[in-house]
This record gives sequence, C-alpha cells and structure tokens, in this order.
Amino acid sequence: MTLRYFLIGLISPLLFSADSTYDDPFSDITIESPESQAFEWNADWYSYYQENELDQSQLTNLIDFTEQRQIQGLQLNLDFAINDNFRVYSSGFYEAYEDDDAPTESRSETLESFVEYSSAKKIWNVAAGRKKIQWSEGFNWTPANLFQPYFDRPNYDRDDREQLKGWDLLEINRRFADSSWTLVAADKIEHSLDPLLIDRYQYALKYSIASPADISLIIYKVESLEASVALTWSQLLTDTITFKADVSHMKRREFPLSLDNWFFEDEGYLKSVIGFSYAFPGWDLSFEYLYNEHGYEENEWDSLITELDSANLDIVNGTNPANGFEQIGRMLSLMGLGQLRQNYAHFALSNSKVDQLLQYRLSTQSNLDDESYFLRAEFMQNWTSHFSSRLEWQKFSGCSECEFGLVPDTEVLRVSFYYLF
Amino acid sequence: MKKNSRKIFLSILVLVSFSLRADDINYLEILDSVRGYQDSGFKFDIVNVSVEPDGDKKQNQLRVKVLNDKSLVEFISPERVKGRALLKEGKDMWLHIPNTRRVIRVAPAQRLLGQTSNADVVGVSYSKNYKVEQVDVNENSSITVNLVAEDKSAIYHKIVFVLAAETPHLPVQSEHYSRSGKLIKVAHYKEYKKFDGQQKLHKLLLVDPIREGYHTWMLFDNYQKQTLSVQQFAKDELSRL
Repeated sequence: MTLRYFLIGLISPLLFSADSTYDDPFSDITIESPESQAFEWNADWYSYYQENELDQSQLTNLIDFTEQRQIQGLQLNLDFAINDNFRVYSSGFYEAYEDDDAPTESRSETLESFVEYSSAKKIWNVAAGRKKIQWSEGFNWTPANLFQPYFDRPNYDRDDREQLKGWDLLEINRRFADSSWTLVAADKIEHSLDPLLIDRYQYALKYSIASPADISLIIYKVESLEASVALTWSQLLTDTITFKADVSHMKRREFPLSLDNWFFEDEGYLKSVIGFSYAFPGWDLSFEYLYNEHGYEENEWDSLITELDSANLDIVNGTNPANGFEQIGRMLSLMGLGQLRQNYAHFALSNSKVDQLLQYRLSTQSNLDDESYFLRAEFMQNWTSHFSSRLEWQKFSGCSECEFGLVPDTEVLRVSFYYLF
Repeated sequence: MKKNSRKIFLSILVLVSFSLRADDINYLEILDSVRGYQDSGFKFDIVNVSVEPDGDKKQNQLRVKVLNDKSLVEFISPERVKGRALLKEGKDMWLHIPNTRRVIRVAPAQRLLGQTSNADVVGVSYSKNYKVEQVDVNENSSITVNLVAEDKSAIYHKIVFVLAAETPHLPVQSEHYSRSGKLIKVAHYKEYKKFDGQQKLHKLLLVDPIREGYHTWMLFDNYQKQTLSVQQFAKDELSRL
C-alpha cells in the first residue's frame, strides 16, 4: 500500500466529518417521476422597448425610420400526443407594437402546425403541415438551409418570432442505426426577391450520417429549375474544440446585378462557411468565416452605390422621387438578406448555454471586403425560473458606402422582459 | 525464531488472501452496476442541487434514457430550460434548445448544468472506457481501485475509487483527476437504494476541490429497465422530444 492510500485512509474520517457541513437537501424525498402527458402547453409572454440612433446623413435614410419601438407579445405552443405514434404540434404568436408616435398595430402568425407519425421504434417519421426545416451546421451563417424564403437571423434579432415560421410541407424520414434519409416536398414559394422562384414548388432530399462526424448531403430543387446541392459537416476535434462547415452550390444568384434591372444571373454560385468553437468550463468562444460567391465584387458594389447615389439625388432634387424611393426600398430589401459582399468573419463569446442567473453573449460580424462591422452585446438575468430580462446593445459601423455603414441605425438599445407560463 | 516465522507466514497469508480476493472481483462491473443496467436500455431521473459558498442553491431536474454508450437527457426543470435535450453518443454530444429546430454539437468539456458536468449526468460505462490500473486493500479492509481512461482525451483521465469492505463493495468515494494530474472532483456516494432487487446509487455529493465551498448534491431515482431502439437516440429525434 502506498503512503498516499495510507493518508487517504487517515483523512477519510475527517472528510466524512466535513461532509456534515454539506446538508443533505433531499432528506427523505423521492423524485416525482414526470410521466409523459398526453397534452402539454406552454406560453411565453415577451415585451421590449427599443431605441434606435439613426444616421441622418446616410444614403438610405431618406425614409422615415423608426426611432422608438415597443412590443408586447405572446407565443403559445401546444403539443398533443394522440397515442404512441401520432402527435399534433402547433405554435403561434400574437403581438402588438407601437412605433414612435404611431397608433398601436398588431400582427399574428402560425409559426408551426403539423401532425406527426412515428413508427414504434422511431424508424419511420412522417410530418405533414407547417414545420421549420433547419439542416445547416453553421451558427451565424447557414448556407445549407436552402428552402426559400429563408429568414433566420438569431444574431440580429432574437425577439423576432417570424424567424421561427416554417413551410407548409410533407416530410418523410427513414432512420437506420447510423444514418437517415429525409425527403421534403414544400408548398409553392410565396415570397422571394427573385420573381422566377415565386409560385413554384420546392423539394429536397437529405442523406445524413452521425458520429464521429455528422455529414449531410442535400439535393434541393425548385420546380422546373436546376438543382442545388449542399454538404454539411461537424465534428468533435478534441474534448474542447468542435469544427463545423457548410458548403452549397446554387445555380441562381441570390442578388440582382442592379437596382434598376431586377435580374438574377444563373452562372452557378458557391457559398461556404467554416467554423470552430472552443468550450471553456461554463462559457464558449466561436469563430466562423464565410465565403459567398453570391455577394457583390468590388466593381459590382461600386456600381450599386452609384445607383443608390443617383436615387438619393432623385429624391433630394425632386427630379424623380418615386423612382428614388423605389430604388432605396430595393436596396433595403437586399440589405435585409444580409451578406451582400463575399468575405465575412464572425466571432462570439458566450456563457448562455449554461443555465445560470446571469448570462452574456458578445458577438461581432465583420465584412472583410469593406471593413464595416456589426457589434452586439447582450446581458441576460434570470430573476426566477419563470421571469427573465435581457439588455441588448448593437452598433453598426463602417464608411458611408460600406455594407454595415449603410444600415440606417448606428446604435440600437433594447431592454426585453420574458415570462414563461 | 519459530514464533517469528509463523508470524511472517501468517502475514504473507493474509496479504495473499486479500490480493486474491481483490483480483477475483470485477470492479468495473460493480461500478457500472450502481449507475444502471448494462444488459438493457434503462431510464432514471436526477435532481441536482448546486450549492455555492454563500449558501445560494440552484436546482434542476433531468430525465435520462440510456442504451449502451448512448444517453438522452431531457431537462425537466427549472421552467426556463424545460424542453432542452442533450444527446450523447460516445464522446459526441448534441444539444437542442426549444423554440428552434436547431441541434448544435457541443464539446464534452462544455458545462450545461452549472457545476455539474455533462459527463456526471449521462450514462456511464466504466467497462468500456476505463481499465483497472491498480488495486489496493486498505488497513480498514476498504478497497482502493485506480482506473485509467482508455481514451487519452477523456474528461477524467484517472479516477481513484474507494470501495466498501463489505460485499458487494459499493463505492464510498471517488477522486477524479484531469490528464495533467490535477484533482478536479471528489464524489461521496452517500446512499444506495434497491431497484428491481439491485442496489443503485441514490444520493451523490460532488465536492469541487478547486473552488472551496462549491458542491452539488445529486439524487438519482426511478431506475427502470426500458425497451429502447437506437433510432430513439438519433440526432433528429432531439427536436421531436
């Protein structure tokens, strides 16, 4: 026996006497087993107040942008297990909002609502109804999410419930021990900047394997148009480092060449993201790089800015204000899609995956082509198990003809409150 | 002279009998059996109470399903994390956060439950992941078993268990070491409870030796064998829970 174990033997009584200071919080209780309920629901009340600081000299800022906004909303989720094989899930929200001194308006939306069948051993899963498809491995950018229109921006606006809205679809999933096939057929595309995509059905086939590397190959097709392909990859490199990558190749470009000529080229475009995250005990650090061939090259961007300048003059000089406002509106629609140039970096620092009273999330997105950037800081406080709040500050910075410099806001401050029923 | 020889002989006999007894026992099987059923799928519930030096307590409840090296952890409480789900397969782990269809890969070193590491709450298979390096019988007849991880990148590179002297030699205490040799966790096995006639771990106290005053009580309960299929442990299943 080594001296070490002899010492352990000696100090064991001390250790156990020290344990008496560790009061047993369970005394004689047993855990109430949370049996599965046939019907479950939860509701999330949310409210925020936001102030935007606008750049009045900015090229797009001839439109009357909101400086103050307040929202009160309620999201309701219902989950009903009909039996062991069938379930119905539905989620929707209603919110009332007030911009500046305008009267209160409201909106509501069904986010998801589907019936799902799962075979006894979960080998077959079939869903029909409205459901969100999320296949990308990227966190900030998601090139493999090919369904249109794709609207997912957790790093711009976490309170925007619209981004949880799914597509009306039929999904068939067949699982094997280490792989799966998924086939999705979705209803006609209703909204897209590209007029050619509107009113066409969309389909996708995905083949996935999991562990040690998650790899998915996706083939996506819009009715009567050429197919697009995507590949996703994520892998654990060490106990602390994870790697993720997405690459997609689409025939049609996501952006038009000109604000005047709303035409989308179809020469074939690559979009790829590569990222790493590093886990420290209790917090993590992540980095992503995006290469986007859909984005504008320098000469294309300069041409777009010239058009925007001209639209601005049309309004200021009163030569053709209708055309000017239309072109500025088009530019803002493009900016809403994001990643208008080709090279981007994302960096984030967060402890929000851990359940604790005070959480933070700090992130940046940098346009490496024009050196403009977006900075975001959030602080969350979990006051009780039901009530929490979030303070958020955003800053958009860059030259007046750079992507993030063109955003009408220079700074945004928001305080949000949440209550879970 | 004759007396001394007899003493020496008896001492050797006692030592040999101890070491023979120690060698005959499958320690890995004992350690595995107290945290589940190795021959079938099973589920259990956990309540964790993390205590900080100022007395502040945080509680969460989880439900865990285990099949071989796969574990599926459902977060039951507090309300703000209800619906979260964690899937573990070997060293691979994925997390699903409700209100999204996003399933994100997380590293084993990432803590999702405050002081409790992911490795503490999922199913554990010492037989598959560790080998016995050394066994010693202590003066009070308790047994010290040194385990070393088969995989060099395991969170706990070395674990030193102290098992009770009495059969079935249930664990009393364990010390968990990092690869650098640093003691990162001390576990006290405070209470066992019978499920299906077998002794299972019921109360565990985890003490943080690095940060004084930080400790976590874990209550394991409702162990139940269950027929589970590998498809129930698919990554896609996380967002369907």
